[in-house]
Amino acid sequence: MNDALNVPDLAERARALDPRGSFIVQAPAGSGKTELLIQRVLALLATVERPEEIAAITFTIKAAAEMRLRVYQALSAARHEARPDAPHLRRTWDLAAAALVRNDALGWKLEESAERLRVQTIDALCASLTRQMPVLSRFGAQPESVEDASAMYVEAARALLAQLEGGEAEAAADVGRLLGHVDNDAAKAERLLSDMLASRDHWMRKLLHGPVDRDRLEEGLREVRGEAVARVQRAWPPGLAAPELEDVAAWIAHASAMLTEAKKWRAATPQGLKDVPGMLDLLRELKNLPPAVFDAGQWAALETIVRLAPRALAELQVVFARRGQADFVEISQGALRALGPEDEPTDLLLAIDYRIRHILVDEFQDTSHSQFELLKRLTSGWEPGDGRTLFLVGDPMQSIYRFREAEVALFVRAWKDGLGGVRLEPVTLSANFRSRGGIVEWVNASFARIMPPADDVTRGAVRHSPSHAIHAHEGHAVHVHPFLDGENGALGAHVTRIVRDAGDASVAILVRNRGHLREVLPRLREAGLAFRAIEIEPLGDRPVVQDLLALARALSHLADRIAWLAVLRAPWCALDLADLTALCGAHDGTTVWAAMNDGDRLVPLSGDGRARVARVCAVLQRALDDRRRSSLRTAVERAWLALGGPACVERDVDLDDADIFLDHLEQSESEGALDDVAAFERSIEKLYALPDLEAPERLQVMTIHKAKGLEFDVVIVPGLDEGTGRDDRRLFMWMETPEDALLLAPINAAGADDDPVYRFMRSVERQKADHENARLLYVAATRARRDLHLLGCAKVDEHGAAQEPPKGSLLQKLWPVVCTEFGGLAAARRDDRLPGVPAASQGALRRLDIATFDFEVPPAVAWSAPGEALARTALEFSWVGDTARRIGSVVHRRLQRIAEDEARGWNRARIERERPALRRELTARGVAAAELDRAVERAATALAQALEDERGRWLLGPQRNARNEYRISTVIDGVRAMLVIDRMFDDADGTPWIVDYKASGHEGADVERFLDEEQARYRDQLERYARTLGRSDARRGLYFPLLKGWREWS
Amino acid sequence: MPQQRRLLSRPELFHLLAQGHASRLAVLTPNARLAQALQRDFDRAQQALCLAAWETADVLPFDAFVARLWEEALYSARGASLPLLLTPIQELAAWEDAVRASGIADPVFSAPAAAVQCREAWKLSHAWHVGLRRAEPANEDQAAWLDWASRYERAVKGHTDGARLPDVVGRSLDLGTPKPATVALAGIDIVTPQMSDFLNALSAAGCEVCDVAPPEIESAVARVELTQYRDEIEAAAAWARARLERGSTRIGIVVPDLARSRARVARAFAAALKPAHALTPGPLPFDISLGEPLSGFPIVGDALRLLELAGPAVAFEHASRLVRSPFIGGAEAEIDVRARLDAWLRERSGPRITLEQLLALAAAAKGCRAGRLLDLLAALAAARKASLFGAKSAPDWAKAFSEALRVVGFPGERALDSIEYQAMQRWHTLLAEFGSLERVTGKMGYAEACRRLARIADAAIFQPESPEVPIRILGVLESAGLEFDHLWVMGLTADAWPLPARPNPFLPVRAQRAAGIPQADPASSLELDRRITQGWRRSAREVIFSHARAEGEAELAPSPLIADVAGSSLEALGVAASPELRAAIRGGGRIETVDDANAPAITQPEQRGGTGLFRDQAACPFRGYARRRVGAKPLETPRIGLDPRDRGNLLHALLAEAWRDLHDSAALHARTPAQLGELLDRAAGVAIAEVKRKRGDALSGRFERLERERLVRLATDWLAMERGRPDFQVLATEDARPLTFGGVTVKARLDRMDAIAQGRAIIDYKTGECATSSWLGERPEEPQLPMYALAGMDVSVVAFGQVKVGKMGFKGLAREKDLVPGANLVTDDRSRAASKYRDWNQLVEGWRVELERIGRAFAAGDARVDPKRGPLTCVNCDQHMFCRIAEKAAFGVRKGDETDE
Ligand code: SF4
Repeated sequence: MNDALNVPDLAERARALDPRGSFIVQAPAGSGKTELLIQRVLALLATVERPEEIAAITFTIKAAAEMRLRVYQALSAARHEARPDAPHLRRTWDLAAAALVRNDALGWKLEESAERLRVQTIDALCASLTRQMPVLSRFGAQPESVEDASAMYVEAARALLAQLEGGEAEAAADVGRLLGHVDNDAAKAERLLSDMLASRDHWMRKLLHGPVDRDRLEEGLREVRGEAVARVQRAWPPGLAAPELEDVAAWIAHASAMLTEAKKWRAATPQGLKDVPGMLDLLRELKNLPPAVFDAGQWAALETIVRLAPRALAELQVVFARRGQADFVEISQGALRALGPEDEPTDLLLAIDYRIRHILVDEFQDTSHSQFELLKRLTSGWEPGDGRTLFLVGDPMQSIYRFREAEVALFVRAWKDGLGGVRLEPVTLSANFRSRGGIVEWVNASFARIMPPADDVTRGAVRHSPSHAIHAHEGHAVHVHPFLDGENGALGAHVTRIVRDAGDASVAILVRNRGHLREVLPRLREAGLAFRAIEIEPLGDRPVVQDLLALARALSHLADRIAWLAVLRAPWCALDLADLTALCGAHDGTTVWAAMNDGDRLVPLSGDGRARVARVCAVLQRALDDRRRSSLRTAVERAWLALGGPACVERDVDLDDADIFLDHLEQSESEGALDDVAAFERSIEKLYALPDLEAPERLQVMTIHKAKGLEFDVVIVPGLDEGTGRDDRRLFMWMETPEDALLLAPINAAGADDDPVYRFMRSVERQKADHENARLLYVAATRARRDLHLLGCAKVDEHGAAQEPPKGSLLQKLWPVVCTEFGGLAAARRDDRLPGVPAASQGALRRLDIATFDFEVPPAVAWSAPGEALARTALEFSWVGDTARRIGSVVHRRLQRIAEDEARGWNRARIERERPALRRELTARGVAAAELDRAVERAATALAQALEDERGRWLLGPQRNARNEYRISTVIDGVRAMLVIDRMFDDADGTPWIVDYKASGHEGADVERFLDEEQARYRDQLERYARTLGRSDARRGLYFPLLKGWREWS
Repeated sequence: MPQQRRLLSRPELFHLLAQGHASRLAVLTPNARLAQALQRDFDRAQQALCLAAWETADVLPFDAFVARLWEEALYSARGASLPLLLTPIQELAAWEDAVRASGIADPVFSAPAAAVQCREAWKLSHAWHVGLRRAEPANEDQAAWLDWASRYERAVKGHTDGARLPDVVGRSLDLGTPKPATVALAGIDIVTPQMSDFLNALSAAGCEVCDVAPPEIESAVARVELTQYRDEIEAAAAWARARLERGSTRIGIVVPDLARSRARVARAFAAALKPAHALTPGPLPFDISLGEPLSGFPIVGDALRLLELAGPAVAFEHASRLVRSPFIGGAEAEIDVRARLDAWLRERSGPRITLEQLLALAAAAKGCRAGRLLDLLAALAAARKASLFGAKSAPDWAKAFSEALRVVGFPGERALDSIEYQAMQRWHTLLAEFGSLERVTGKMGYAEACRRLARIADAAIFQPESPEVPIRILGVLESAGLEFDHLWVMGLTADAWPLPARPNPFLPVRAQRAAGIPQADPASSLELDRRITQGWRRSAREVIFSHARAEGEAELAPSPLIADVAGSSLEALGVAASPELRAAIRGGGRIETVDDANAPAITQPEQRGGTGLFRDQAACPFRGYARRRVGAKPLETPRIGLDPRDRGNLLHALLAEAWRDLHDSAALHARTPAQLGELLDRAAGVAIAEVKRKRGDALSGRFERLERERLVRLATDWLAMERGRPDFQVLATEDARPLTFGGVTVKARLDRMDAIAQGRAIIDYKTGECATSSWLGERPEEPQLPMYALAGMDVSVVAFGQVKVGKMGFKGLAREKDLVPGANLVTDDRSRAASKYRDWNQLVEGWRVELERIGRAFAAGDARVDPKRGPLTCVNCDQHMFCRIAEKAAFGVRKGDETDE
């Protein structure tokens, strides 16, 4: 922040730091609001009992990190550095010092536990609330939050549509009606429903409370009509006799008679009316008004949709619960549920042991409805002067996130009426510390004309609020560069010139839409101007990504013919068309892979072609043999490396792009496979190639949205005349009137005209978009410190006069300010050819020279794995085997105990008595209830027999140096191993014994043979015991209590 | 805790252990990790004494020790008085049932997830003696939990669980069960009141309790800041390699966020230690302490999916995976045909499919009959009928599950690799564990059983065994008390460390804090993490803490707990970046560019497919080549309802059938609306029957009825429109004939040809948008009707019949005005493309020239990548990866995106 000398809003800034007051702050671009927020956090810290009482909410994770970092820097400066001299630095230092005093007095240890200071996004705040209240939030446990839940919306929509066949009668009927409405196009219904779910933040509060009331809705229609008429009446020129009409309808008829069908002035309309500024638009709106009542057909459709909406929501929640995931809206709904109804809030003190006493919200202009609602709940019951405060900061002129459900009207509403029960003192900042005077003045003058003079909540309009430049004017700062329609190439070249002329200054080229760079980027490249494109170049457009995608698809599916052909055509193989046709030209239904492995088919290929195919075959054969053994990512990467993929890329940064793709693949796959390849490919469309880090930082290219919060010396905005071409239709339109009535209308039935109510709301939507365009322009313009360049093309008519640019373009918003500069452009030759593929590359085939391709694998660290010690036994799972194993372990356990008692006091009778105990032991081991009787029988038999058998009594009875369950450790072939010997002793003759028990049974006649087999099977094991113990003199024995069997050897 | 306890140094401990079982010493650790490490260190020491074998040291985690004592007691004389111990799986199932029984579990509320937390709260409350009954529940969460807890307790009466076992065992210690003479506590930092009681009971029962001194190693500690987390991982890997090369065998890496970055970490370490691993996998000198859910292993995932397939309908993707799964019988032999079968199924299935539907579709497959698969699926269907219905006990289901898997030849004929083998072993135990649910649950239906099994498999964290390795990668908790030669702790940024306090939601926070649960309070939580940090500092000769400067776009600060450690750099640590395999490969190849715009000429004029060949070739020669010469066709994704092609086919079939009946305009006029309605309804039936052969699942039930109604409505409107035409007679519907241009002959099919007042009108029905401009100029977009117009049939009108609600009508061009409504003169068209043609003859001649040219280009093998309208042509093309447009064009080929961040 600059010196305080000429800061015009110093008093306002000071006021906003009052820790007892609640404020809403309008902070235009460059006004230093982050510093203000930090100062307020510090000021609050000096007043609270626990730092957790303060919750600061930011719009992005990045902003949260930055704010926290700066608070900590301030604290650290106050702890370790001297009090600075500069006044604005001093204020922060003083506030931080006071906060530290509090910290030390109350033992917070704030500097050591960063998390105690709650600076987070609203999503993170919601998640922390629901995590603490799993029942109140109705989740059961914290769901994983996912950014892109579109797959789940589709799943829910599908489930709803499936009720056509299997659902309740009422639901089935409604789904049938919905399908009828969209011409039985189930895919369209699915899309509309899933879009509806995606935007549910807007409508669900209103639609979840029972059936909609036709009278109320029609009241809304009347209100809209009445209001539009009132606006015309207000603007009616005093000199002109206003018609004396009671009825709104009559008024509408009268006023619309002033316009032609094409909504232009009728010649007969009095000039006095024509001269009223804005009157034309007001009258056009009248013509556009919805009727006062719904027609029967539309009403039926609307009712159907309104009945289906809650069902769709329910399906969505089921999907969320099943997957253990949720989108941000759902999590904020959970938080709302957890916070309880507005009039009866959950006591957070009881739930989370601290009360939030101070809330600060940054970027409040981009708040959504559910976030607004959340703030209302969090502050419900707050009384003025009770020490709890709310602090909202934002700039409605920079509200540009409508497509993410941001609603600028909420700022306007809070400004006027406060938030929930909290009164807010408005504070307006006006100092601009960023741009030189020329820019600030231009922005002030221009946006006063571009932005509406007054706020309009319904249409999302906010008025302009001027800034005061702190920096000097210093000459001409804003440059408009007009071009004729079609002169895109010249425009691109001009951008290049501006960049060159900027010298060392930091330059940003900002666009609304990535497509607007089509003519600019190639020119920059041609001119040798390296740039960093921040999230501009779609990742999927990188050849390296296409190659990897081809491999991923090919390895996922042998019959994905395009992918396999692409694998053969990629530089690592680059089969020419002659060979490719010879190999794959037979239309006989075989796969490419089969052809590659078919010797006969390879015959007609060129020698080089055969070599190329063989190379690919070898690599992919391995990949297919090991399919679904590793992650698909690993398999793809392995094949790519083996084929020489990295040698085929054009630039080094491609290797990083390859990583982005591979990481994304890893996140999208499950268990080594991709379920929905099409969805995966769509998801790649949301990824961007990395900026070229070898390019200097001084020239950056990004979207205006991305540039929010940044600043540059020079800002260039090309493509002002281009629109967004976005026009999606929703299943139903929804809007709230200023009087809180609701307007609803269904999408038109297939083939029918738009419902007039729907059409009206769409036009309101368009107006909202239009207002947001102005704000987008404002954001772009205010990024510049020194120079602002605006470039665009306009059409000229036959007389050489520039025509108004297309609706929806930024240039159209800017038009009143710049139209004079576009006048007088000489008509040039149109050049509207679409960019094509240059003739030279139409047949160009890049290929790896496989004859010379070779590389050396960097050496591995010297280490050799100890021998693999995992012995394999035949894997056969049978229920019987499992129970037998459990019986075996109980018998072992028992034998061990008997042996420890040296068999004293043990006999058949005792075993019989202990049958209940055996039963418990077997149960504890997990023997199924149905098997228990048999298992007890078997175990008891085994034990009783051991006790009656002479061999058994000898074995279990008193012996010298006896050990039971004897555990020894050793190292075999470099691998540590532990051996457990059932019993070891020296017998009366001093002969050492090593014995294992085997509880196996044997059905069938030849018991002796079975015992021989068992001996053979366990021989090695006992040998190992003997060897390890160094007791090769010991006799080895195997005892089979169930069979009364015995084998011994030396 | 009592200060008077004996403190054993490590050498003293090993000395005692070396005395073997006679010392009757048990060493207790907080977790299995530390137990193994101690065990290993001890074994090493023994080995160093040149012993061949020694008595195994008794080192085990505290919980396991308690469980062992319980088991000893169970087998003792008074074992009958002991409650049985539930397994964790049984506990969870009991909690889940308790939650469900409370009635809260509507479909939205996740009872299984809540069960996990309940068990956690239950454990905490016992371990820390958080008084439950006395405390008034403060809110709904706590009240709900109290309710669940009492339900749970009642339900598992007569059993005990992990949470209560120390109390149970502590009380019965005097029962004369065998126990060690001494227990030594190693690395147990947090002694809960429950543990403390237990240990007291143990000493009261005559067992000495002593402590093992924590590692106190004189260490050099350094702090390294790196740009990103990814750089930290790579640096740690390079460092580990450098240390290993110096001969160290005990290298530890601590990764706080291990669960999420496991794969990344594994990759970076493999790349640094053994670059060739990325090409040929083999054993690596590190292991990662964290396993993964068993359900995430493909072999287990497919087993679960197979069981799911035997239930109600499954997502097509699941069925598709199974068709191509290597884990069912015949997968290797039929690998090719099953892939083709799947492609075939994709064109016919809806997004969900039942086993029966799958079987029926697969049985009807042409050209891709997978015999073995059919047998297996049929066997599964039979097994389903025989044994997968009704309510059964858990063990019975477990049996049925293994049987169902057996009949489909699971786990396939490919030899299992080591990981698959171990996963299979674990799977079998898992089935057994599932069977044991019987103790806490009643009978259940198949779907419920499948769901429970899947949940158990999700919860079963499994890690295949690996040989002993010098580098161990651990999470924070497992690192406690371990000793290393070198230790690197990464991810120590301010936001990640210390951890925030995280009280359990089900217990009153105040009570948790009063009980001293460290995680419940910021101050004690900080204290705990500080202790852990101190522990790291003493646990190796060299200790390195690292943190990233930024993650994504957010800037990060170092954790305050390590901020005081002197900063160092990788160079100072002697760590050089390891050479990269990718760089080696990148440098090892040379790229050349050759010209390859032409395929060989076609060998015979007759080409498969219809007029679409000309359309493709006109749009882009490469597309023509790709689709028509080498059959580059995409895989489809099953979608809901009918796709536009099916919808078009229905309508075509319906109108064809209707006109076969009507013949001419006179008949049309003669029929009453009722007669027409009847006619159309019948025709709709015919059409539906035809399309049903392919899309039987989509065209059924109520939807079929709706569709039939829609078709009749549409056709009625259409015929109403046709009533306004001058007289005509329908000469042909679906007329098929070969057409040749430029040496290429294709089979064309015309929807309809009418005789009209002058000549003939040829008509192509369209259900979507269409425009006559697609016939004009060079490389026409829709050449089909122009081709027919040139077939020498005295055509005087070419027209699209747009059959679309609200937009019924013809759009065409005609030799003269008023032959067919909507068919105009070409000279009436004001567009630039139309301005070349002065009359009908010139138009037709223009078509001939253009079509001949396109045909010749195709025949000659022209395969240039030359999309007619650049990005607009490419955007809806499926050949991007094959034609390699991305490396040829400056324009992006993806759809233009919107404003976003
Ligand atoms: S993507 Fe474009 S260039 Fe490639 S084949 Fe299709 S139309 Fe031709």
